[in-house]
Amino acid sequence: MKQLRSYLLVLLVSCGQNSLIDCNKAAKSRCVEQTDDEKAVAALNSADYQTVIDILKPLIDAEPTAYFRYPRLATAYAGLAGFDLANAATAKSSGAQDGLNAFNAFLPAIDALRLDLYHEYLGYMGQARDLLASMPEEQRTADTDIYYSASSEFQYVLYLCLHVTMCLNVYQFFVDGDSIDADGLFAFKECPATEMIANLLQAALAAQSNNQELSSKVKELETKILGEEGANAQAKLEAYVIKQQKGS
Amino acid sequence: MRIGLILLFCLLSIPLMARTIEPYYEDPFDIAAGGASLTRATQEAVLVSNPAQLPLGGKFFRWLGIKTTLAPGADSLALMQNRGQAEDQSSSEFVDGLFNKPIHLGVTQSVSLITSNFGLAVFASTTPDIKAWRRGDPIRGAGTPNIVVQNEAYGGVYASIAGFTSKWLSLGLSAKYLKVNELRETIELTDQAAIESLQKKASEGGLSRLDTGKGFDFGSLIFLQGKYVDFSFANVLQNIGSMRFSGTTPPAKQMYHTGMSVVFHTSADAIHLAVDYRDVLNVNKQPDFKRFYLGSKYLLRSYLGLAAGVYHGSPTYGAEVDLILFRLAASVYTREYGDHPDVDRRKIYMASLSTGLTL
Repeated sequence: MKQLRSYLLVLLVSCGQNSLIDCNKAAKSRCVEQTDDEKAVAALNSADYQTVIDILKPLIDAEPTAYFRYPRLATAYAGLAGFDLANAATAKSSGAQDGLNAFNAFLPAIDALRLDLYHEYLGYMGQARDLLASMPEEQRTADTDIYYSASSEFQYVLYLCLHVTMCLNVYQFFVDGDSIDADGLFAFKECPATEMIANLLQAALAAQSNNQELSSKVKELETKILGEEGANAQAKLEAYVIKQQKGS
Repeated sequence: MRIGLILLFCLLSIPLMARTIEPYYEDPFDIAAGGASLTRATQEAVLVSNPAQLPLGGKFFRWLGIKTTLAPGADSLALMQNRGQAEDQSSSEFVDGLFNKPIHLGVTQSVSLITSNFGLAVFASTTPDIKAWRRGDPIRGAGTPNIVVQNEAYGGVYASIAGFTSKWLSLGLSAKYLKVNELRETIELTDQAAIESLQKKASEGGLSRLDTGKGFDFGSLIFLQGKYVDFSFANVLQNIGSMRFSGTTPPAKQMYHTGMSVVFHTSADAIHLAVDYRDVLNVNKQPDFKRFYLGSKYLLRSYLGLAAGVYHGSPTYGAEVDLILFRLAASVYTREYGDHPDVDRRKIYMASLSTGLTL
C-alpha cells in the first residue's frame, strides 16, 4: 500500500503539461506523428518559412491539384521576402498615403550595402505571386465557397502590388538627379517596366470585385505612369519615378 | 473595431465543435484522473459515463444537490489579466493578444438526485473557444490570419436506473433528452464577404439554434470485490441505435466503450487505477490518443481525493475535498482540438463547487 501511495505521489509531482506522445519531445510511449500539412501550418505560424517550403513544395509537385496548399506556400515565400501579413493586419493605420507607398511600412528597406539581399526578397515575392498566378482562376476568387479561394485572391492581388512596390523602391534607389543609374538598375532584372505595368493592370482587375478601393488606387498609379512622357514603358516609368523623387 | 464586433456577436449568440467521444458532461475530479470514468465516476457524472455504477455506493440516498463548474483556459486568464492592465488597448492589440493566447471558457450548472438504483440530473453547459491564427489554422487555414470560433453548448436531462443482477454484475440504463448547439466558424480576416455573411447569420440567430435529441445509453459493470483488492470491468453502449437531432446537428453515432480498473483499498482509503478505451469500433474516426483514458484516484477517508492521469495524450492532475454540505473539486488538464498532439491544444483549469446533501 505504501509503495502504491509513493507511486501516486511521484506520478502527481512529475506530471507536467507536455503531451506524453508528441513525436517532437522525448516520447516514452507510442509516437503520434503529425501530418505533413499539420507540420507545415505549425511551421507557418512559427514563421519558420523555409520548413514550410521544404514540406509543401514536394507535396505540390506530387499533387498539383491540391490547391489548398498554394496559398500556404505563397505565404511562406512572402515571409522570406520580408512581408508578414499578420503584422500588417494588426498594425495601427499610419494615415492616408499615396499610391502603394502604404505597403512600404511592411516591407524591408532597400540597403545599399546589401543589394543582394533585396534581390532575394524580390525573388521570393515573385515566387509567391507566380505560385498563386498558376492556380486556376475559379480556385482563386472570392466568388466561390471554396475555403481558401478568397484568401488566394487576396494574397495574389497583394503580392502583385508588393512586388511592384519593391520594384519602385529599386527605381527610386537608383535615381541620380534627373536620371536613373542605368547600370545599377540593369542588375535588377526582376523589375522590367512592362511587367510592372502589366502587374498593376492585373492587380487592378483582380481586386475589382472584392477591394474596389485598392483597385482604383492601383489603376490610378498605372494611369499616372502611362501618362508620363517617354518613348516606351521603361522611359515613362523612369520619368514617373524621377518626378516622384523630386516631389518628395 | 470590426473584429471586436464579430467576436462579440459570436459570444453573445452562445452557439456553440463537436464532442464525439468525450462525454457531454464531465466532473473535474474525473478529468483529473484522465477522464477514465467508465468504472468509477463522481456524483452525477455516473449517469453520463456508465449508469451501471449507481448501485456501487453502498447507501441508498447518495446525493441531492447542485453543482457549478468553471473551466477557463490558462491562456485566457493571462490574456484577461493583460487586458485589465491595459485598458486603452486597441482592438488590433487585442487581436494581437489573441494570436498568442486563445480564449477558452467552460461553464456548467447541474442539479441532481442520485440513489443506488435511480439517478436524475439536469444540466446546462457552454464552452466557447476563440483562437486567432497568424497564418491560418490547421484545418481551413489559407496562409492568412483567421479566427476560429468554436462553441459546445449542451443542456438536458439524464434519468438512469440500475441494479445488481447478481453478486458481481450491475446493469444500468440512462435515458437522455439533450439540447445541443455545436459551432465551428472560421473567420478569414481577408474575406470581407464571408465576414458580412457571418454577421448576417449571427444577427438572424442562425448560429444559436439549439437542436434537440433523445437517446439511450446502456452500461454494465462486473465488480469483483476482495478484501484488499477489487477489480472492475465496464462496457457501455452509448447512443443506442444512434441519437438523431432535429435541425442540422449530425447524429451522435452509437459507440461501444470498454474500461477496467483495479482498486487497492483498506476499510477507509483506496487507490483506484483505471483505463478506458472509448469508441472501440472507432465509428467516429478519432485518433488513438483521444480514445485512451488513463488515470488513478487516491481517496483518503472518503473526504479527500487526489488524482492524476492522461487525457488526450497529456498529463492531468487534481484534487477534491468532500465535506458534509459541500464538495470542492479542481483539476488541470490539456484538451487537444486537433487530430494530433500539439496541433491545437488548450491547457484548462477546471473547478467545481457542489452544494447539497448526502442523505
